[in-house]
Amino acid sequence: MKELWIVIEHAKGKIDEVSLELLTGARQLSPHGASKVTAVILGDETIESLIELVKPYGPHRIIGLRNKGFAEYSVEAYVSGLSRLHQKYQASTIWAGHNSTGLDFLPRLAVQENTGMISGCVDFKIENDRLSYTRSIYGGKLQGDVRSLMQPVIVSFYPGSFTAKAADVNGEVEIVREDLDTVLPSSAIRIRNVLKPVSDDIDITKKEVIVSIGRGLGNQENVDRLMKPLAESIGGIIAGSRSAVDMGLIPASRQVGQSGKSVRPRVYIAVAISGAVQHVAGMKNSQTVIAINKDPNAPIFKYADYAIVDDLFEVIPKVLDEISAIKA
Amino acid sequence: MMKIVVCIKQSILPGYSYFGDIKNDRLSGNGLKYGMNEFDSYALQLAVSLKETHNCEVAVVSLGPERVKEVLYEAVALGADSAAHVEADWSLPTDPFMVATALHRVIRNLGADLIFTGAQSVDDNTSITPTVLAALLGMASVWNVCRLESLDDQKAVVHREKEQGIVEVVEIPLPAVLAIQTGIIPLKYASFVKLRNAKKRGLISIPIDSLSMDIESYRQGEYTRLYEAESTGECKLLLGDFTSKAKSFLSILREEVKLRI
Repeated sequence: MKELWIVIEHAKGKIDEVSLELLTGARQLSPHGASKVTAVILGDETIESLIELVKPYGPHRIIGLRNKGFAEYSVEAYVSGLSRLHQKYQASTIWAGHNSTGLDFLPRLAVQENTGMISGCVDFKIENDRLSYTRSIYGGKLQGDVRSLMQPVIVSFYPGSFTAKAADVNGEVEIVREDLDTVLPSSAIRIRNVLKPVSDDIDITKKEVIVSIGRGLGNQENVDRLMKPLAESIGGIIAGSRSAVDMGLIPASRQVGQSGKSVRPRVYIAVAISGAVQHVAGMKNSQTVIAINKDPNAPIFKYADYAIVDDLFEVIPKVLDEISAIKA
Repeated sequence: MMKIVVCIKQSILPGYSYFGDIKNDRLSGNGLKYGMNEFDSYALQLAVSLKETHNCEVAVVSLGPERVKEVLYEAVALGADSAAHVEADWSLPTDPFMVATALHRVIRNLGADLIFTGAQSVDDNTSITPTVLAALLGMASVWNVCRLESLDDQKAVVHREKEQGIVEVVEIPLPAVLAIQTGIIPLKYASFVKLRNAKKRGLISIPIDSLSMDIESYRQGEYTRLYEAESTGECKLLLGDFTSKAKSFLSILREEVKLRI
């Protein structure tokens, strides 16, 4: 039986959602008998409560590796701890989140173990008893199935690739507790401070109607002339993509996506947003998505309920005209 | 003098339709449009901006076939002091371990104090090349740097962008690898005259064979299928002239989403 490990991310006694998503996704492997799923938790004396939080998500085994040095995440401690566990238990596959933490320790673990890594995955497939991983590439326009040529296979998945759900049946979970009786390597970097998100007058995560803008708006004048009147007239708020923030069209507090906010409004109107995977991660749970983009191949349409394939500079003025007519 | 090396990728530009271009689960490369990876543009221009405030020189390196010379000339036109082209021709998509290993061989003896890369590429989107490179070089690294707060001979203080708008202020000892996020500095464009002068100055050419590595043996994964992304559900296309589309749009908002307009 192959060993699939999921490295559990946690902070302040809470498990990161992406770890629960991966445990849920891994349950799809069980009917194939392909893998024994192990949740690996690196923690200090508080590890017992984390083990309890992981249990309902149905791993076959939980390995809790204890050391005071795991109280706070550091890349050196994680690579050292995981490498020691791998020497003893021999993982064949290691999964974690494709986020700032996963992208910190997984590539270094891969180099340490002289293996490779398949990063930025959104799904997996089983064909002829072999696993391949689906990556979103070229701005979300293409997908590629990748098979690892190396062992162990180290994989990072985007948050939101699976929906976290506790297992229906609670099978027996083997709990293994290990104490790591060494001083872990110290961290090369030092975190001086953590800055909370800049607060804006409006919290976009609480809004039901979002008009989200992308690079195609071009400049602030277009936003003021077209998008603000649209948002105001339908009771919505302007948000946008990373590009919109970089162009200075919206403040960072209004960014939707992996490094911005995750939103689930009643309606998400995506205007001139192509729909790269990082953006989609923050909006795909919206109830209704309407996308306006002149590129018929824009990936955003894959996530939209309604599509207008046209130039926003032609369509939005007509929308504003129609709204004026209704209000008159 | 501080030495900054910037790793630049010539990426396939977004917005291009690839669908006719997939052959045997590879991109043929024909007709694709290339340009400097957006994240790397920010990395480069941040490095060049430091020349105004610090005693430093900026060297750039890029890997790939003949066509990647274009982004190296652009980098010199934008203020890089020297540019090296590692001549390699390999199938697309590329592999981050192949790239990081080749970069490691080129950079390891340069005595660099800082290595800048983009946090990711807009095409292959692996996001791991900078950290793999740092691990091979035995250097500390920070991925997703959105601000350089201070820099001296010993250390840099940078802002690391995390999820959900959280930012960490991180002190990192030199030498180090910093993977730069977009938006860190306002971008400038290279003038025609500077581009022409850059081409006259020329590049340092490094044949991949001179790195004594069997580059293909460092490939860690293989694409078994390359295809158009699948839709998550049914998407209804609104048709007609601009006015009809506008009317349909509003009727969805009023009747389905139940907005009061």
